[in-house]
Amino acid sequence: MDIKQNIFVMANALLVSSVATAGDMGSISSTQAFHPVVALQGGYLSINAGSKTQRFIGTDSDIFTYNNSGNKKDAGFIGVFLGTEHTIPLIPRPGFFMQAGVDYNYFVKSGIKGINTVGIEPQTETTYRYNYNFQTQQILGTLRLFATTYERFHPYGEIGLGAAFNHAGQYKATTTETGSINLTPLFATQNQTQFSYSLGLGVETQLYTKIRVGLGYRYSNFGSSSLGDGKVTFNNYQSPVPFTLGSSNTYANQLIARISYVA
Amino acid sequence: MNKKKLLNKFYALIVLLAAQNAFAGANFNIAPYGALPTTVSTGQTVIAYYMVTNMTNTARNGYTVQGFPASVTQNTTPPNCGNPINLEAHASCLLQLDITGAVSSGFAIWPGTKDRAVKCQKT
Repeated sequence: MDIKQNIFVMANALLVSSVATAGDMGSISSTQAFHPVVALQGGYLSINAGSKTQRFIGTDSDIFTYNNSGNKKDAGFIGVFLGTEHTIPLIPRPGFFMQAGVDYNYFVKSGIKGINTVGIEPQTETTYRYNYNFQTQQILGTLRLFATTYERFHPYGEIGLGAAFNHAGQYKATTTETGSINLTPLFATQNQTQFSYSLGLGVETQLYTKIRVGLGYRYSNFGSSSLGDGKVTFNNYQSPVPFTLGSSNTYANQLIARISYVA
Repeated sequence: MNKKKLLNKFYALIVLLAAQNAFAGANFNIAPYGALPTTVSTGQTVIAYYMVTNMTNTARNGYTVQGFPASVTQNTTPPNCGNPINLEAHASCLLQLDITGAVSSGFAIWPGTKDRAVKCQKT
């Protein structure tokens, strides 16, 4: 079973199990009915999408070093949640309820940049500045559990499982050195689908009868992300390199603002 | 006489050639040796010389010159640089290029032959 199937199964298990269990409760009062929910969300994120330092050695003894000048990038995101709200199975206490649904988030691209040196020895290194873009989208099956305090405040915790669609590309490397230089590889753009999850906390409050607003924190993990194949290119001559740049653990810390319509 | 202009800015891989190299770090230094030709007549051959120096503290063996246009060939007659180029630490050899037509691109010194990829390992 590949990762897409795994993600699909987990997302469905999360959604279907909660819905099925709720349906097994038998008679429920009108306040325990299913309520469709549509929410728009967005906010600030600090994303980590590049390894601090990566180092590769060629058969020619050339050492390729990539020092990321800043792993954490500030960016933004927007998203939408579609789901249902109902009481929590086995915990039919007033004030406790849950949302289950599908969460989609689009994260603004982040620029990854740093210093690349290429050379056999320190005194024969050529220095480049490199940069590339990272951007991701995330689809999760999300479960959000709410409590109620002071009648109108609803603290919540959430968990989401699903997939991230990572894009790394637009790689550039430039040098200001003149004269004889060592050439450095350029890397292709690559899209990858990865297992993704998120964990969050926050609080919502009733603005109007069917409108709620909320603030929260969320951690999202997007799995690994890397650029595509690398080549040293000169005129029509190309030589591939068997390494690429990226991160085995791409994640973001987010501050979320959300507005929800609960029918 | 149909003269064609010769661009004298030859690049070299690992060595991008230019008149000045004081601001670069490179495993090899390639510097023009004598005046570079600026024109070539149809049917004639002009010669450009470059001094290739291994700037590292170790021997560099098995390098080839890549990226020539069809109008440029490497002359390996001793004592010129051979093909492949093998140089001890800080040693030099004279690279002779025989040019029969206009040149608008450079050349590179490459580890291995064209069919041999640069092999690297992650550390």
